[in-house]
Amino acid sequence: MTQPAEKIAAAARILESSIEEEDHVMYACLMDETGKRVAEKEGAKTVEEARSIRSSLHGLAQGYPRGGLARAFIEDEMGTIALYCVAGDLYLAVAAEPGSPLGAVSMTAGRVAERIKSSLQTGLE
Amino acid sequence: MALRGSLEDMDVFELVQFPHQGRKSGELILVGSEHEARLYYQKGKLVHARYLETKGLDVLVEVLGWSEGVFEFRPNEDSPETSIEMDLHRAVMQALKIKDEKTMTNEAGENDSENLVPEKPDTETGMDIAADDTAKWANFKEAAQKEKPILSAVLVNESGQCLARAGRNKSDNGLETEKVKDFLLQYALDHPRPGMKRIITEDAGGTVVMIPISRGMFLVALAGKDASLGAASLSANRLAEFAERKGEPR
Repeated sequence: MTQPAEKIAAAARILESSIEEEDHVMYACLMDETGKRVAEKEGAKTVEEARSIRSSLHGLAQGYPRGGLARAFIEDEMGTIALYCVAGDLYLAVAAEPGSPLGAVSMTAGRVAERIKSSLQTGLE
Repeated sequence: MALRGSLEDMDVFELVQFPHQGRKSGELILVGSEHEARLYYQKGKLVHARYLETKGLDVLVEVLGWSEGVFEFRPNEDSPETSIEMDLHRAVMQALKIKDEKTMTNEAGENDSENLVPEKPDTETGMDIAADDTAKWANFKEAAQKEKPILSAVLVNESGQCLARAGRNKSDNGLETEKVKDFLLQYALDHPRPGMKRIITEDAGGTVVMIPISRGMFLVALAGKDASLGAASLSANRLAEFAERKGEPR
Protein backbone atom coordinates (compact mmCIF):
# COMPACT_ATOMS: atom_id res chain seq x y z
CA MET A 1 0.00 0.00 0.00
CA THR A 2 1.44 3.36 -0.98
CA GLN A 3 -0.70 5.63 1.19
CA PRO A 4 1.05 6.70 4.41
CA ALA A 5 -0.39 5.26 7.62
CA GLU A 6 -1.42 8.66 8.97
CA LYS A 7 -3.44 9.41 5.85
CA ILE A 8 -5.17 6.06 6.10
CA ALA A 9 -5.93 6.80 9.75
CA ALA A 10 -7.43 10.16 8.77
CA ALA A 11 -9.48 8.48 6.04
CA ALA A 12 -10.72 5.94 8.59
CA ARG A 13 -11.88 8.74 10.89
CA ILE A 14 -13.72 10.40 8.02
CA LEU A 15 -15.36 7.10 7.19
CA GLU A 16 -16.39 6.61 10.82
CA SER A 17 -17.91 10.05 11.27
CA SER A 18 -19.55 10.24 7.83
CA ILE A 19 -21.28 6.89 7.92
CA GLU A 20 -22.61 7.39 11.43
CA GLU A 21 -24.99 10.06 10.09
CA GLU A 22 -26.38 7.88 7.29
CA ASP A 23 -29.32 5.71 8.33
CA HIS A 24 -29.49 3.75 5.10
CA VAL A 25 -25.86 2.63 5.16
CA MET A 26 -25.32 -0.84 6.61
CA TYR A 27 -21.62 -1.20 6.06
CA ALA A 28 -18.69 0.75 4.64
CA CYS A 29 -15.02 0.06 4.28
CA LEU A 30 -11.84 1.17 2.61
CA MET A 31 -9.94 -1.49 0.68
CA ASP A 32 -6.47 -1.45 -0.76
CA GLU A 33 -5.57 -2.77 -4.19
CA THR A 34 -5.21 -6.31 -2.86
CA GLY A 35 -8.77 -6.28 -1.52
CA LYS A 36 -7.63 -6.05 2.10
CA ARG A 37 -9.72 -3.75 4.26
CA VAL A 38 -7.82 -0.88 5.81
CA ALA A 39 -10.77 0.73 7.57
CA GLU A 40 -14.28 -0.42 8.33
CA LYS A 41 -17.51 0.96 9.72
CA GLU A 42 -20.64 -0.98 10.44
CA GLY A 43 -23.99 0.76 10.38
CA ALA A 44 -26.99 0.16 12.56
CA LYS A 45 -27.84 -2.96 10.59
CA THR A 46 -25.06 -5.42 9.95
CA VAL A 47 -24.10 -7.07 6.73
CA GLU A 48 -23.07 -10.64 7.40
CA GLU A 49 -21.53 -11.19 4.03
CA ALA A 50 -19.11 -8.24 4.26
CA ARG A 51 -16.12 -10.43 3.44
CA SER A 52 -17.67 -11.78 0.26
CA ILE A 53 -18.75 -8.27 -0.74
CA ARG A 54 -15.19 -7.05 -0.41
CA SER A 55 -13.89 -9.98 -2.39
CA SER A 56 -16.47 -9.47 -5.10
CA LEU A 57 -15.78 -5.73 -5.35
CA HIS A 58 -12.06 -6.34 -5.46
CA GLY A 59 -12.63 -8.68 -8.40
CA LEU A 60 -14.68 -6.00 -10.14
CA ALA A 61 -12.09 -3.27 -9.61
CA GLN A 62 -9.14 -5.43 -10.66
CA GLY A 63 -10.73 -7.19 -13.60
CA TYR A 64 -12.73 -4.36 -15.13
CA PRO A 65 -11.80 -4.60 -18.82
CA ARG A 66 -12.19 -0.93 -19.76
CA GLY A 67 -9.73 0.16 -17.08
CA GLY A 68 -9.90 3.18 -14.80
CA LEU A 69 -13.05 2.23 -12.97
CA ALA A 70 -14.17 5.39 -11.17
CA ARG A 71 -17.28 4.05 -9.48
CA ALA A 72 -19.71 1.17 -9.63
CA PHE A 73 -23.11 0.30 -8.21
CA ILE A 74 -24.50 -3.17 -7.74
CA GLU A 75 -28.18 -3.47 -6.88
CA ASP A 76 -29.64 -6.73 -5.64
CA GLU A 77 -32.38 -8.01 -3.36
CA MET A 78 -30.31 -7.24 -0.30
CA GLY A 79 -29.59 -3.62 -1.15
CA THR A 80 -27.16 -1.51 -3.10
CA ILE A 81 -23.39 -1.65 -2.99
CA ALA A 82 -21.32 1.27 -4.19
CA LEU A 83 -17.63 1.18 -5.02
CA TYR A 84 -15.64 4.38 -5.44
CA CYS A 85 -11.99 4.69 -6.38
CA VAL A 86 -10.62 7.31 -3.94
CA ALA A 87 -6.99 6.90 -4.97
CA GLY A 88 -5.16 4.66 -7.42
CA ASP A 89 -4.71 2.02 -4.77
CA LEU A 90 -7.63 2.69 -2.46
CA TYR A 91 -11.35 1.98 -2.84
CA LEU A 92 -14.36 2.96 -0.78
CA ALA A 93 -17.16 0.39 -0.55
CA VAL A 94 -20.58 1.28 0.84
CA ALA A 95 -23.43 -1.17 1.32
CA ALA A 96 -26.89 0.35 1.70
CA GLU A 97 -30.09 -1.32 2.81
CA PRO A 98 -32.74 -2.57 0.36
CA GLY A 99 -34.97 0.14 -1.02
CA SER A 100 -32.32 2.85 -0.85
CA PRO A 101 -32.61 4.94 -4.02
CA LEU A 102 -29.58 4.76 -6.25
CA GLY A 103 -29.34 8.55 -6.08
CA ALA A 104 -29.21 8.54 -2.29
CA VAL A 105 -26.50 5.87 -2.24
CA SER A 106 -24.58 7.75 -4.92
CA MET A 107 -24.85 10.97 -2.98
CA THR A 108 -23.74 9.45 0.31
CA ALA A 109 -20.87 7.43 -1.10
CA GLY A 110 -19.82 10.30 -3.35
CA ARG A 111 -19.71 12.72 -0.44
CA VAL A 112 -17.61 10.38 1.70
CA ALA A 113 -15.34 9.57 -1.25
CA GLU A 114 -14.76 13.26 -1.94
CA ARG A 115 -13.87 13.93 1.69
CA ILE A 116 -11.46 11.02 1.74
CA LYS A 117 -9.91 12.02 -1.61
CA SER A 118 -9.41 15.53 -0.37
CA SER A 119 -7.89 14.29 2.89
CA LEU A 120 -5.51 11.98 1.04
CA GLN A 121 -4.38 14.86 -1.18
CA THR A 122 -4.08 17.60 1.43
CA GLY A 123 -3.58 15.68 4.64
CA LEU A 124 -6.45 17.67 6.16
CA GLU A 125 -9.64 16.13 7.52
CA MET B 1 -20.72 37.00 8.67
CA ALA B 2 -21.86 36.31 5.13
CA LEU B 3 -20.18 33.62 3.05
CA ARG B 4 -19.60 34.47 -0.60
CA GLY B 5 -18.11 32.64 -3.53
CA SER B 6 -18.34 31.53 -7.11
CA LEU B 7 -20.19 28.54 -8.51
CA GLU B 8 -17.11 27.81 -10.60
CA ASP B 9 -15.26 27.15 -7.35
CA MET B 10 -17.97 25.35 -5.42
CA ASP B 11 -20.31 22.80 -6.88
CA VAL B 12 -23.93 23.90 -6.51
CA PHE B 13 -24.83 20.36 -5.44
CA GLU B 14 -22.52 20.66 -2.43
CA LEU B 15 -23.43 24.27 -1.85
CA VAL B 16 -27.16 23.77 -1.34
CA GLN B 17 -26.38 21.07 1.22
CA PHE B 18 -23.68 22.82 3.22
CA PRO B 19 -26.06 24.51 5.73
CA HIS B 20 -27.21 21.05 6.77
CA GLN B 21 -23.88 20.06 8.30
CA GLY B 22 -23.67 22.97 10.74
CA ARG B 23 -27.46 23.10 11.20
CA LYS B 24 -27.26 26.67 9.93
CA SER B 25 -30.16 29.06 9.50
CA GLY B 26 -30.16 31.75 6.86
CA GLU B 27 -30.63 32.71 3.26
CA LEU B 28 -28.57 31.31 0.38
CA ILE B 29 -28.66 33.62 -2.65
CA LEU B 30 -27.57 32.10 -5.94
CA VAL B 31 -27.06 34.51 -8.81
CA GLY B 32 -27.04 32.65 -12.11
CA SER B 33 -26.37 33.90 -15.60
CA GLU B 34 -29.74 35.67 -15.83
CA HIS B 35 -31.64 35.58 -12.56
CA GLU B 36 -31.21 34.84 -8.91
CA ALA B 37 -32.65 32.16 -6.67
CA ARG B 38 -33.07 32.33 -2.91
CA LEU B 39 -33.03 29.34 -0.62
CA TYR B 40 -33.92 29.56 3.06
CA TYR B 41 -32.71 27.24 5.80
CA GLN B 42 -33.82 26.75 9.38
CA LYS B 43 -31.39 24.79 11.55
CA GLY B 44 -29.93 23.16 8.45
CA LYS B 45 -33.28 22.26 6.97
CA LEU B 46 -34.29 23.72 3.62
CA VAL B 47 -37.72 25.24 4.22
CA HIS B 48 -38.29 27.55 1.28
CA ALA B 49 -36.90 28.32 -2.18
CA ARG B 50 -37.85 30.97 -4.67
CA TYR B 51 -36.78 31.64 -8.27
CA LEU B 52 -38.69 34.25 -10.27
CA GLU B 53 -42.33 33.17 -9.81
CA THR B 54 -41.41 29.60 -8.90
CA LYS B 55 -41.39 28.35 -5.33
CA GLY B 56 -40.55 25.07 -3.63
CA LEU B 57 -38.82 21.99 -4.98
CA ASP B 58 -38.93 23.18 -8.61
CA VAL B 59 -36.44 25.89 -7.66
CA LEU B 60 -34.00 23.21 -6.53
CA VAL B 61 -34.54 21.40 -9.84
CA GLU B 62 -33.59 24.63 -11.61
CA VAL B 63 -30.51 25.61 -9.60
CA LEU B 64 -28.96 22.14 -9.50
CA GLY B 65 -28.11 22.65 -13.17
CA TRP B 66 -26.20 25.88 -12.57
CA SER B 67 -22.46 25.84 -12.98
CA GLU B 68 -21.80 29.56 -13.42
CA GLY B 69 -22.61 32.46 -11.16
CA VAL B 70 -21.98 33.59 -7.63
CA PHE B 71 -23.52 32.87 -4.25
CA GLU B 72 -23.85 34.42 -0.85
CA PHE B 73 -25.05 32.86 2.38
CA ARG B 74 -26.54 35.31 4.86
CA PRO B 75 -26.79 33.70 8.29
CA ASN B 76 -29.89 34.10 10.44
CA GLU B 77 -32.08 35.61 7.71
CA ASP B 78 -35.62 34.40 8.34
CA SER B 79 -37.63 32.62 5.69
CA PRO B 80 -40.69 34.57 4.53
CA GLU B 81 -42.67 31.33 4.12
CA THR B 82 -42.48 27.55 3.95
CA SER B 83 -42.64 25.84 0.56
CA ILE B 84 -40.54 22.71 1.19
CA GLU B 85 -41.39 20.20 3.86
CA MET B 86 -38.98 17.34 3.52
CA ASP B 87 -35.52 16.35 4.63
CA LEU B 88 -32.81 18.25 2.73
CA HIS B 89 -31.12 15.12 1.34
CA ARG B 90 -34.47 13.79 0.23
CA ALA B 91 -35.33 17.13 -1.39
CA VAL B 92 -32.04 17.15 -3.30
CA MET B 93 -32.51 13.58 -4.44
CA GLN B 94 -36.09 14.28 -5.48
CA ALA B 95 -34.94 17.36 -7.39
CA LEU B 96 -32.21 15.37 -9.15
CA LYS B 97 -34.72 12.71 -10.09
CA ILE B 98 -37.13 15.29 -11.53
CA LYS B 99 -34.24 16.96 -13.35
CA ASP B 100 -33.13 13.66 -14.90
CA GLU B 101 -36.67 12.87 -15.96
CA LYS B 102 -37.08 16.31 -17.54
CA THR B 103 -33.78 15.90 -19.36
CA MET B 104 -34.83 12.54 -20.67
CA THR B 105 -38.21 13.85 -21.80
CA ASN B 106 -36.57 16.75 -23.62
CA GLU B 107 -33.99 14.53 -25.26
CA ALA B 108 -36.61 12.04 -26.37
CA GLY B 109 -38.52 14.86 -28.03
CA GLU B 110 -35.57 16.10 -30.03
CA ASN B 111 -34.92 14.92 -33.55
CA ASP B 112 -32.07 12.50 -33.52
CA SER B 113 -30.06 12.74 -36.70
CA GLU B 114 -27.76 9.98 -35.59
CA ASN B 115 -28.56 6.54 -36.79
CA LEU B 116 -28.46 3.45 -34.67
CA VAL B 117 -27.41 0.59 -36.83
CA PRO B 118 -28.20 -2.99 -36.01
CA GLU B 119 -25.13 -5.10 -36.17
CA LYS B 120 -24.84 -8.38 -37.87
CA PRO B 121 -24.55 -11.38 -35.59
CA ASP B 122 -21.09 -12.50 -34.75
CA THR B 123 -20.72 -15.71 -36.70
CA GLU B 124 -17.44 -16.45 -34.92
CA THR B 125 -19.40 -17.22 -31.78
CA GLY B 126 -21.34 -19.86 -33.65
CA MET B 127 -24.63 -18.10 -33.19
CA ASP B 128 -27.56 -19.66 -34.91
CA ILE B 129 -29.78 -16.81 -35.94
CA ALA B 130 -33.16 -17.57 -37.40
CA ALA B 131 -34.45 -15.43 -40.20
CA ASP B 132 -37.35 -14.12 -38.14
CA ASP B 133 -34.88 -12.68 -35.59
CA THR B 134 -34.18 -9.86 -38.04
CA ALA B 135 -37.49 -8.29 -37.08
CA LYS B 136 -36.60 -8.58 -33.43
CA TRP B 137 -33.32 -6.78 -34.04
CA ALA B 138 -35.18 -4.05 -35.80
CA ASN B 139 -37.41 -3.65 -32.76
CA PHE B 140 -34.42 -3.53 -30.49
CA LYS B 141 -32.70 -1.01 -32.75
CA GLU B 142 -35.75 1.24 -32.75
CA ALA B 143 -36.04 1.07 -28.97
CA ALA B 144 -32.35 1.85 -28.54
CA GLN B 145 -32.58 4.71 -31.02
CA LYS B 146 -35.03 6.47 -28.74
CA GLU B 147 -32.54 6.42 -25.89
CA LYS B 148 -30.14 9.18 -26.78
CA PRO B 149 -27.55 8.55 -24.04
CA ILE B 150 -27.08 4.95 -25.20
CA LEU B 151 -24.26 4.54 -27.71
CA SER B 152 -24.51 0.80 -28.03
CA ALA B 153 -26.43 -2.02 -26.44
CA VAL B 154 -26.50 -5.78 -26.55
CA LEU B 155 -29.00 -8.33 -25.39
CA VAL B 156 -27.29 -11.55 -24.35
CA ASN B 157 -28.22 -14.85 -22.76
CA GLU B 158 -26.47 -16.48 -19.80
CA SER B 159 -23.91 -18.08 -22.10
CA GLY B 160 -22.90 -14.69 -23.42
CA GLN B 161 -24.53 -15.38 -26.77
CA CYS B 162 -25.68 -12.18 -28.42
CA LEU B 163 -29.40 -12.10 -29.20
CA ALA B 164 -29.66 -8.52 -30.44
CA ARG B 165 -27.39 -5.54 -30.82
CA ALA B 166 -27.57 -1.89 -31.72
CA GLY B 167 -24.75 0.59 -32.03
CA ARG B 168 -24.94 4.32 -32.64
CA ASN B 169 -21.35 4.64 -33.72
CA LYS B 170 -20.62 2.77 -36.93
CA SER B 171 -16.86 2.87 -36.47
CA ASP B 172 -17.17 1.36 -33.01
CA ASN B 173 -19.31 -1.57 -34.19
CA GLY B 174 -20.20 -2.25 -30.59
CA LEU B 175 -16.72 -3.45 -29.73
CA GLU B 176 -16.66 -1.49 -26.50
CA THR B 177 -19.88 -3.13 -25.38
CA GLU B 178 -18.56 -6.48 -26.50
CA LYS B 179 -15.43 -5.95 -24.45
CA VAL B 180 -17.27 -5.36 -21.20
CA LYS B 181 -20.33 -7.60 -21.61
CA ASP B 182 -18.55 -10.91 -20.98
CA PHE B 183 -16.87 -9.55 -17.88
CA LEU B 184 -20.06 -8.10 -16.38
CA LEU B 185 -22.04 -11.18 -17.30
CA GLN B 186 -19.60 -13.39 -15.41
CA TYR B 187 -19.54 -10.92 -12.54
CA ALA B 188 -23.34 -10.96 -12.32
CA LEU B 189 -23.42 -14.77 -12.35
CA ASP B 190 -20.71 -14.97 -9.64
CA HIS B 191 -22.21 -12.24 -7.46
CA PRO B 192 -22.31 -13.51 -3.86
CA ARG B 193 -25.75 -12.12 -3.00
CA PRO B 194 -29.09 -13.18 -4.48
CA GLY B 195 -31.43 -11.29 -6.75
CA MET B 196 -29.10 -9.23 -8.92
CA LYS B 197 -31.05 -6.25 -10.26
CA ARG B 198 -28.51 -3.97 -11.89
CA ILE B 199 -24.80 -3.24 -12.28
CA ILE B 200 -23.62 0.21 -13.23
CA THR B 201 -19.99 1.09 -13.84
CA GLU B 202 -18.49 4.44 -14.67
CA ASP B 203 -15.05 5.08 -16.10
CA ALA B 204 -13.29 7.70 -18.19
CA GLY B 205 -15.05 6.46 -21.33
CA GLY B 206 -18.59 6.57 -20.02
CA THR B 207 -21.14 4.48 -18.17
CA VAL B 208 -22.02 0.82 -18.61
CA VAL B 209 -25.31 -0.55 -17.31
CA MET B 210 -26.14 -4.25 -17.09
CA ILE B 211 -29.67 -5.33 -16.23
CA PRO B 212 -30.79 -8.95 -15.88
CA ILE B 213 -34.05 -9.60 -17.70
CA SER B 214 -36.29 -12.59 -17.32
CA ARG B 215 -35.78 -15.75 -19.36
CA GLY B 216 -32.05 -15.65 -18.62
CA MET B 217 -31.38 -12.58 -20.70
CA PHE B 218 -29.18 -9.63 -19.84
CA LEU B 219 -29.07 -6.17 -21.31
CA VAL B 220 -25.71 -4.40 -21.48
CA ALA B 221 -25.88 -0.77 -22.50
CA LEU B 222 -23.02 1.65 -22.97
CA ALA B 223 -23.54 5.40 -22.57
CA GLY B 224 -21.05 8.11 -23.47
CA LYS B 225 -19.12 10.13 -20.94
CA ASP B 226 -21.44 13.09 -21.45
CA ALA B 227 -24.43 11.19 -20.10
CA SER B 228 -25.11 11.43 -16.38
CA LEU B 229 -25.36 8.27 -14.34
CA GLY B 230 -29.08 8.88 -13.85
CA ALA B 231 -29.76 9.44 -17.56
CA ALA B 232 -27.78 6.35 -18.56
CA SER B 233 -29.54 4.29 -15.93
CA LEU B 234 -33.02 5.50 -16.92
CA SER B 235 -32.37 4.83 -20.60
CA ALA B 236 -31.04 1.35 -19.91
CA ASN B 237 -34.05 0.63 -17.71
CA ARG B 238 -36.43 1.58 -20.50
CA LEU B 239 -34.52 -0.54 -22.99
CA ALA B 240 -34.59 -3.46 -20.57
CA GLU B 241 -38.34 -3.01 -20.12
CA PHE B 242 -38.71 -3.03 -23.88
CA ALA B 243 -36.69 -6.22 -24.15
CA GLU B 244 -38.83 -7.73 -21.41
CA ARG B 245 -42.08 -6.83 -23.17
CA LYS B 246 -41.42 -7.12 -26.85
CA GLY B 247 -37.92 -8.14 -27.72
CA GLU B 248 -38.49 -11.75 -26.94
CA PRO B 249 -35.79 -14.05 -28.21
CA ARG B 250 -36.87 -17.11 -29.96
